[in-house]
Parts: sequence; structure tokens; C-alpha cells
Amino acid sequence: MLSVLSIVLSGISLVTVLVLLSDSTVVCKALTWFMRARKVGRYRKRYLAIMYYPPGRFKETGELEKALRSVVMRSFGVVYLAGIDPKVVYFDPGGSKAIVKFNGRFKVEFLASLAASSELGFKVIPVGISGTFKSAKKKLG
Amino acid sequence: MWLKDYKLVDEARRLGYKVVSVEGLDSGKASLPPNVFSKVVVVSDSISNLKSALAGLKGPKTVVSVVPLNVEVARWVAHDRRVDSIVMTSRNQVLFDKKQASVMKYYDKPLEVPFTEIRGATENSLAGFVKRLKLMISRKVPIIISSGASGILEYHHPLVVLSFIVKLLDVDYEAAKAMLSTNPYKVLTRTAI
Repeated sequence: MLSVLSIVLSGISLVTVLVLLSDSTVVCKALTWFMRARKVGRYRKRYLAIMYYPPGRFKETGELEKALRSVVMRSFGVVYLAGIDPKVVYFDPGGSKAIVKFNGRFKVEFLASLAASSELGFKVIPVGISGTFKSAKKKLG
Repeated sequence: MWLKDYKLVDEARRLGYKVVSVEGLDSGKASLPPNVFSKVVVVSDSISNLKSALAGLKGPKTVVSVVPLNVEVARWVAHDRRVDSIVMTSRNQVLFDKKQASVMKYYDKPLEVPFTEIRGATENSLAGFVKRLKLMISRKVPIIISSGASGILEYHHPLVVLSFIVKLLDVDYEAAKAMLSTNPYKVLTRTAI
């Protein structure tokens, strides 16, 4: 038990000495790289404020979500659908407005897939993309 | 840029397009708004027919586009100053090869591709579009992606079109943006003078 503790302590002291001896910029770069590497797999949620045409085409949230999923599926297939993962978080059938939460890493793919909506008999007009639900709602007006 | 119905002008404003050209308008009409241009599309398979069609066609605020159906017309139209753009469709895409690209580059003639053509293309046809558009990009031919819409559903938001082009052609945002805004605007300013 004591031997394990001594190994751990010696390791920590060795790292501390190396940090003190080496250049501070190198240490900063290494830390930044480490933090970035941790962020790679992160889901960066984004909110897309949309309007749709024709008005009154969708009556329920699920209906619009299903349509958006089929649009993405039609354009990029199941792999991208799993990545984009569009979810309707706000729906106003009266004003034909909605807010869709999606994975921000696939912003271009999601927007590009909206071009396929006309083949399914509706059109999605992106109003704006934001990082918070509050600002997305502000964009919808 | 290219609309096939005047009713879509309001929709264009709603989507954020600033200037549009509409097919089937009388260019001499006094009530034409300042941001609306008239567009004439000539489909031709012989030079003599094209010459007679182009005679007296060019006027102020009129954009003339030609859809060539054979190689002779495609080459000839590339150096005609009355023609503002050459349209590539799924029907005539085989005409746009290296030689055509070099002629178009030399005379600074833009290549126009309607977005409805790209969206409505079959898998093979779409592959042809991508191949030829990439060739034109590599040869530095100015490319215009026009909407070519005849209905509201076909008329997409510029951001959607931009993202689609970025993914399809694997180009950066600036290059795709030039296809949607800078290159068409150059043609319109040239015709407005």
C-alpha cells in the first residue's frame, strides 16, 4: 500500500518539476489541446427558428417533427439523422412558426436538407439559429 | 435570381432576396419596380435561329440567357455580347466540357444553373452536374445558381440553397455565396447600365 502511494506521489512531483522547468506557453498549449480533445464528442445544441408554408399544414408538434425527420432522412440518410436529431421544442400552429433543437455540429447538413421539403409538399423557411431557446424565440418575433 | 412567375416577387422579398429577374415580363413596362429585372430565356439548337431570336432582344433591365442544345450553339453563344449567361440544364449538361469552360472563361461568360434543375435531377444527372460544376469552378468560370422557381414551394431561402451548394460541391462558404450573390449581381449591374 505504501509503495503504491510512494509511486503516485513521485509521479505527481515529477510532473510538477517538468511543468516548472518547461516553457509556460508549451504548458498552456498542452492544456488547450487537452480541453479541446475533451470537447470533441460533445453535443452542441442549437435552436433553429423556422416558419413553414403552407400555413396550417401541421396541426401537432409530432407531425412537424416527423416531417423534418423525413426531410433529413431523404437528403442525408439515417446516419446524419441520428447525428442531427431534430426535435421541435416550440410550436405555434396559428403563426406557422416553430423552434427546432438540433445538434449544432451538423448545421450545414440540417439547413441543406431543408431543400428537400418541397418534394414532400411543404417549405421550411429558416429565420435564425441561436444558442438559447430565449434568443431563438426573440428571432421569431 | 430567375423566377418564372411575377407572383413570386413578394415571396422573394420575404425570403430576403434583394434583386430578382422574372421571366415573361415586358421590359418596356414603366411600372416595373427598381429591384425587378426582366429575363428572356432562349432555347436554341441552331445558330441561325438563335441569331434571329437575339435580334432586338437586348434592352435596358433585360437579362438574356441562352440554353444551347448543341456544341456549335454553345461555343458561338459564349462570345456573343448580347447574351448575359449560358444556362446548364440536365438536358444539355454534356456540352459543358473543358473546351467550353476555356471559351467561357476567356469571354467572362457566366454559367447559370437553376436550383430546381439540381433538386429535380436523378442520381446520374446530379453526378453529372457536380462533375461539370467542379470543372467550371476549377477553370474559374463565374457560376450563378438561380432559383428557376415557378411556384412558392420550389423557391427556397438563400441560406438553404447556400448550405446545399456547400455540401454538394464541397466548396467553402465564400465561393458558394459568390454563386448566389456576387456573380448574379455583376450581371444585373452590367445590364442596368
